[in-house]
Amino acid sequence: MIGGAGLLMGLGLGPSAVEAAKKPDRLPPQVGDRLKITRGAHKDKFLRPEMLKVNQAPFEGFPYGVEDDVLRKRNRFNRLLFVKVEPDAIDAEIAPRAADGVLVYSAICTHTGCTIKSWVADDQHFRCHCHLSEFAVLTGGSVRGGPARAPLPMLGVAIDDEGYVVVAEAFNRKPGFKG
Amino acid sequence: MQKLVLTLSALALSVFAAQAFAADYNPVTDERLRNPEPKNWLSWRGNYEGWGHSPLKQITDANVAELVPVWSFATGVNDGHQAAPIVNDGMMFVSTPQNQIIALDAASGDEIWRYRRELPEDLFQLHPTNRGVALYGDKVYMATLDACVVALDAKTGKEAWDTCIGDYTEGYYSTLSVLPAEGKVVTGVSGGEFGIRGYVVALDAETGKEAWKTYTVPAPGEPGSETWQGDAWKTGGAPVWMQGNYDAETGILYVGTGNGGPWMPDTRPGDNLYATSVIALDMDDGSIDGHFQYHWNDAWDWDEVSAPLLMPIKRDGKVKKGLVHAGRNGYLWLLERTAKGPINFIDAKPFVEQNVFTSIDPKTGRPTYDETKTPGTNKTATFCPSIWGGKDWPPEAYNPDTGLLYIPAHENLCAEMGGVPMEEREPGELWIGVPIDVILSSMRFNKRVDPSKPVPIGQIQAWDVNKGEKVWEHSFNDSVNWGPILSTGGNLLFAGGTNDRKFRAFNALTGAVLWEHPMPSGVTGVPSSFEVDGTQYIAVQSGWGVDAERMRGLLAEMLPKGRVPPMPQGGNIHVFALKSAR
Repeated sequence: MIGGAGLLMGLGLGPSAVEAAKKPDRLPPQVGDRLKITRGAHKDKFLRPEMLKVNQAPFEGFPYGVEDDVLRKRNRFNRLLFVKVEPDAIDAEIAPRAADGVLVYSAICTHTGCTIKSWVADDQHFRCHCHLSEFAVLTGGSVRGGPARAPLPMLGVAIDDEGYVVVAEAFNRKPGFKG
Repeated sequence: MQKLVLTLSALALSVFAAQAFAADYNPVTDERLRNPEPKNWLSWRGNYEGWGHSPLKQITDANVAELVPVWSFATGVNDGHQAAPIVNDGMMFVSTPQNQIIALDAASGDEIWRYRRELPEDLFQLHPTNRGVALYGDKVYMATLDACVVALDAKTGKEAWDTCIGDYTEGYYSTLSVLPAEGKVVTGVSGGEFGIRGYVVALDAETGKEAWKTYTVPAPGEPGSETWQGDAWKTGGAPVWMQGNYDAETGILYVGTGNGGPWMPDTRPGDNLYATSVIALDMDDGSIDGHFQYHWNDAWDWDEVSAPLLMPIKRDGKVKKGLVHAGRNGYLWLLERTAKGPINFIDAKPFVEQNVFTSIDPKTGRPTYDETKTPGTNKTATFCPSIWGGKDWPPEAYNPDTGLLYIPAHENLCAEMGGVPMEEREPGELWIGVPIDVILSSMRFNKRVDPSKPVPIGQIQAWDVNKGEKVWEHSFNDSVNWGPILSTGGNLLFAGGTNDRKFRAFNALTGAVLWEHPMPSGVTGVPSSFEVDGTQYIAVQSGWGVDAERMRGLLAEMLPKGRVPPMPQGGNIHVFALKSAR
């Protein structure tokens, strides 16, 4: 089991005073959080790598604080997309953020903040329906088309002792957009 | 040093201009809104009746070729700039995406003040736009994306009040221009894709306090509730995202309503009043005194939010007080308004190809449907027109001189769509029942279209509603048309809306293009016309986005590469006049 707040502090990613004041269900993903699936066949289950098939449409979900026993759903920026690709296909720079080919991205488009719902399996990218921004999954959510300028934020994940996918690193950039 | 002196001079001039406008500001009264002066453009369509017509006639079909840009102004934001430049005695007010209001000297383009709303960072901006400000008394009003209305001092831009009428985290938001009348400002809510229950709200214009609130989906026991089953009414949609038109003589406001929610009709059995309807609201108390539903149990996302134009209709030698609506469902609806509110059906006929309705009841106007063209949960159907309809939100115009109604239309487009079983609603998130990927790939050409050749799609149509005849049409090949129409007394129409970013003038009697000007971005803004010191001006915003861009993007994928040009982003206000008049 990966440690929670202690490891977070050790990585220099400790919660700010503002975050500390937030209720657990509004906190951003914390190291050690499991990932709860909120739609589809595996609804309400914690994500395990074998639930996902390579190039399959992503699952949607939120981080779940095991110690707090809370789904961190009261923060829209915690909305996540879970997708699985061939591990060898992942860009080397972001490979450390993946686990067993599982990549976890923010579901909030960096253009104007719409929730991303569209997946294009052929060339593995997310597409936002609001302005058709496209984000490449294998290259860290880089923009491959449309008006967005910033890549899609991603979490670093790992597999814990019980086989669940858990948060290992905070978002690599702040989710959301700047108007 | 010289530059500093010049800058200080310009600053002093701007301060002086602001002081001058503040000293001379002409309050906007009910009387002025009922009888707007030709030199001004006081409301989003120029008059309460929704005509989009300016009587000014310095610019005519004979001299419009001499029209030149006078000034332009960068708004500093991207996306769909849909608002009309509103002008009151030489002072212009323009709203933009991200809920800015810019006040300018209408003749010079000098900024007088600017308001920028701080929007919540977690806002889900499905339609990041605004359709314009309202002027009333000495204030300027704007509905906001976080479901509020803000009132500012028109002279200074200083906030007077800010009233929230909905919870944006539940999916409520506002994009419409608010309507001022009888001491109130009337607004409404979007959110038909989020599982909301629509409503119209009137606020006291001075204080911002709620005067009345009327749901567009009745609760159990209320009239119309018999058209819903179970709890479907709680999330029944019927949003109000366009300003209504107002009959000041009777005190009745006519408001159009959007799609029922979720999209698939079997998720909400029944007719679903008052979705896809026009409702007649008593301005005093908001009671629904009449309605007409254009189509029942909507299955095609055909919002009918555009309020019908209040214009005369001649029938059998008599002039009726008409309501005229070019529907997203592809039919041109002619209705009769009455003094107490009830709305009578006169006639309806398709203005673009429509293959869903099999008949229209000649007495009630109720359509019957071809069930093979009606999508549902786990049922895919192909139907015409597309989900963006025969005419989406861009407003029609009526010219009382030519007697013609002008419609921005889409022809030759259909859609293939079907739903999936609903999952639990998450407040503030899309709750449509049709996968986004299906929606984003739904558009189809009509079967007779050969995409290897230029395809006429966007149109402007001119109709004589008294004869029930189309007089002319102008088609744009390989292009959408999301251009709101301005009519003027010079026998002209002005509109943009096309993929090629051009803003055009047309002969109102023939449809001939008389002038065109390339803009920095496409034009989905409502044009307006006004006069300052004897010069007539035409004003419009460029800045492309929202559903116009979604449709353009789909069209680019459907046609061979290179036929649909890329669309640059960036908002600008433009003002034109005759070179000889300056």
